[in-house]
Amino acid sequence: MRTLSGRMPRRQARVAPSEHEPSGPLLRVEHVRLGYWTARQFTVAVEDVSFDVEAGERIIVIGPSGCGKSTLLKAIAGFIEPAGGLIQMAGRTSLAPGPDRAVVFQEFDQLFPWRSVLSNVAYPLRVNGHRRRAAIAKARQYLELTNLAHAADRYPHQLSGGMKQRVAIARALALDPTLLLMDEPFGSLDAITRQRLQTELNRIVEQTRVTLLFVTHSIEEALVLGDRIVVLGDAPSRVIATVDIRGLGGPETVEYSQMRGRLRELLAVDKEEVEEIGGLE
Amino acid sequence: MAVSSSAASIPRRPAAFGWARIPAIVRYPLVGAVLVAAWHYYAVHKGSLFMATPWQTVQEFWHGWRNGSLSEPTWATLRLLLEGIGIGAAIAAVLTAFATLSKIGEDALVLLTAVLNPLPGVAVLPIAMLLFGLNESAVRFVIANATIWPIAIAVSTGFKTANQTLVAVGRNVGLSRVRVITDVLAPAALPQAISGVRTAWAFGWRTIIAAELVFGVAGSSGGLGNYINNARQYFLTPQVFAGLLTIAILGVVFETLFGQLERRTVIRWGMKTS
Amino acid sequence: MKTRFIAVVAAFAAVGLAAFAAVAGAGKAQEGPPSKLTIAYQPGLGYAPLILMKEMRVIEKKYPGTQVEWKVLASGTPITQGVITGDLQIGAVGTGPMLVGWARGVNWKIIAPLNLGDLWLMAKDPNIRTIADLRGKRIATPTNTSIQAVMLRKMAQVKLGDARALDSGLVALDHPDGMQALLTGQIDAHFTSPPFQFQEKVRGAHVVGRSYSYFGAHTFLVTVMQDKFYDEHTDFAKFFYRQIVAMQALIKKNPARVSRMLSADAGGAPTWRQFKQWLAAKTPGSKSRALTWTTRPLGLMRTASFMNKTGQLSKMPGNWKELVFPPVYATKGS
Repeated sequence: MRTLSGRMPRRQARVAPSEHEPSGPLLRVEHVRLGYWTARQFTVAVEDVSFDVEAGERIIVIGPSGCGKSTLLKAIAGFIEPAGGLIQMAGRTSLAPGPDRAVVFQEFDQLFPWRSVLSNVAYPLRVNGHRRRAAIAKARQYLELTNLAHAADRYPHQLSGGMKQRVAIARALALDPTLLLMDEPFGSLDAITRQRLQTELNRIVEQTRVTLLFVTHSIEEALVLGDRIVVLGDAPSRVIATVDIRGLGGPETVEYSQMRGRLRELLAVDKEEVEEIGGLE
Repeated sequence: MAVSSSAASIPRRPAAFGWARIPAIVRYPLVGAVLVAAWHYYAVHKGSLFMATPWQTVQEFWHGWRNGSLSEPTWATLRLLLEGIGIGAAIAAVLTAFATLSKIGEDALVLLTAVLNPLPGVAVLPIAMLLFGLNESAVRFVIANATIWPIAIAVSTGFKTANQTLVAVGRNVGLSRVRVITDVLAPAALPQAISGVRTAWAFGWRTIIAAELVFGVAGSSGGLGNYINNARQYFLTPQVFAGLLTIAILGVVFETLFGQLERRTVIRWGMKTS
Repeated sequence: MKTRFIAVVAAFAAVGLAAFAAVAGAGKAQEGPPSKLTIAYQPGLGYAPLILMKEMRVIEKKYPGTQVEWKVLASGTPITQGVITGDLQIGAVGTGPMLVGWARGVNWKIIAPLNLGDLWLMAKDPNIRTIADLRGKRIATPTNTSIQAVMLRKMAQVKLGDARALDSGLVALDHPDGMQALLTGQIDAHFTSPPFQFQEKVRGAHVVGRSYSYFGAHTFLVTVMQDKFYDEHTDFAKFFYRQIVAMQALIKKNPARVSRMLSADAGGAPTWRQFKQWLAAKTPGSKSRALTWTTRPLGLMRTASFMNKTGQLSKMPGNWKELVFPPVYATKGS
């Protein structure tokens, strides 16, 4: 690990998005309304959501199942156009999908099965103008960062679920995203693997200082990974609270328990099954 | 790769008697020998006008491949077949890409496939002869027509059933719409595409032999179907059988090649189980 | 891996051929009196004696117990195959395939020649006037062994010095397809027979060569049966021969009535007038008709010897009588 950290990639090297608009936040979500058409009816998923993300921050969007938090992430990624409101990224609106907002999805099969692990990470770099050698070197660097150097030549179907998600994280990070979007990436993993990956993600985010927007329905995960937590209510959802948990102590501290209790209460406002929503590990 | 062979993973159930325990290298020749023997005695019984014996067939086969009388028609047929399939596959690729990019293209493909796919290859031959004359282009056209539709159906099914997460990843990493097709959808549809080409190959084979039988071009440019037809007109039964043996062997060879292709690609990548 | 592959190849090949063998050997000659009789011919004016027999039901009248079936097949190959397998008792074929079959050991002979025929090599392109103009062109004949293909090689030998000079342009098409191909310009020349050569001439094609001018008058179509059938049903075979003679006489004596029957058999089109005209059609620049109705075989030995020289025939008959059944002996053929 020591040798790794010595060669730590610097995401600031290529893009410094916060410098585009030093005054404003990196991401501004203002009164965003989202929904989808079924037959002839427009179903609203997200009623009115506003929050800002500052560069370097780790924002968790939490909410009950079906509250539209994944839809919100897809809108920020540029896959869905908002029916109302404004999504502004580094001063730009009307966003198309792009590597500045690299996404890690929940599905394990987000890796290209016909590419080796190394190629899965290197290929998007080639798409974005890296030369072959540079792309491979950088891919190897990020595979080391995610402890996958030994699996570089394997194919995705030979990996476990946790390994697949780590490859996806390496792939997204290698793109030097201005904002890393993660859509419940650990949601399909077993509890032990999930905890390991949470710890690992914390380390990686600290090392790369990437700005993170992480969607989850697990209170524990939110508390472990976040700087701030945006809490959404039931669909059609609104922001019911934004809490800052910077400086919160570890799980053994009283403040931690109190915060957990508060989040449980917030999420239970609309629903009875606290246990389920809270995602007790 | 480590995980590719299925034979190793499922052990064969021990057989009640010994046949299955005999190794394959002995079993297949044994079955083959019995069939060849049956063929031989039947041929002797029927007489040389009807049936060639295995030995006559093998002799004629050997002879024909040595002096070119059988190898040349075979190469001529294969060359024409590959050209036809190449043209067909290229058109199928363009049609499918067009259908993926636009609704009109999709409608056109659905309509064309519904109308033209059920047409037996040889039924198109008269039209092809009117359009191109009695030459190789007509045969190429017929083979292309026989191969476009199975490939187009397979590839567009592959595109439609392609994993949408992968498409999203492709767009997310910055691929254009066209490159999503070439770099994500195309490889994702490879299992279907290979089986489509396999079907197209079988269709093409049947079509070209039939086409050559219909208007067998004699002389230098004749193909395998013509070789067989000509042999039939001269009552040269061993040549007829040597021609059939060639077709049978080529069938096995190409099945093996397709199997190898799958083993090296989609099976290796875990996109299809062997 | 490799040995297993070879083993599989061998097994597959054997299975394929065994299956083919089972299909190919399905038919077998029937024995006993001709309780059932199948006769096959092709489309064309030269088969008129058979069409008349069918229309007048001469066999049925003489042998009420015999179930007679007539088949019209587009190409000669299935007819020769049918006679060999015994599915057909009598088949009408050109002299070319008859000779090839005989030389290959098919136990058949001619029971009744149908006619002598002047066969024309037609072209539509006015620039094609002579045989030499046909070098490198596409020429259709019914099959590679057909009498037309033999005559074309004779022409090539006489005019170009090499019997095989035009072989590379040969295309096998049955007469109706060949006519369509010639008129639509898909082929350059068509070596055909009556009435197709007449129809092509009317529709703008011209005669490049005639078989008579290279070969003299020669037998065109014959009816064949297996030796075994002749031996078992000699009386019937002799009757059949006599009836062919009678039909040929009828064509000469009363072409109008014959034309009506031929037109009726064709479902009214072409008209009987058209048939009458065709039956009377003359060879260009000569008084003789394109088709001469006789059971006297002419040019069999010449044809055989030429085919033998060009490598199409593996052995030669000692004399023409080896090729025919006894009823034909009296005709003083050649």
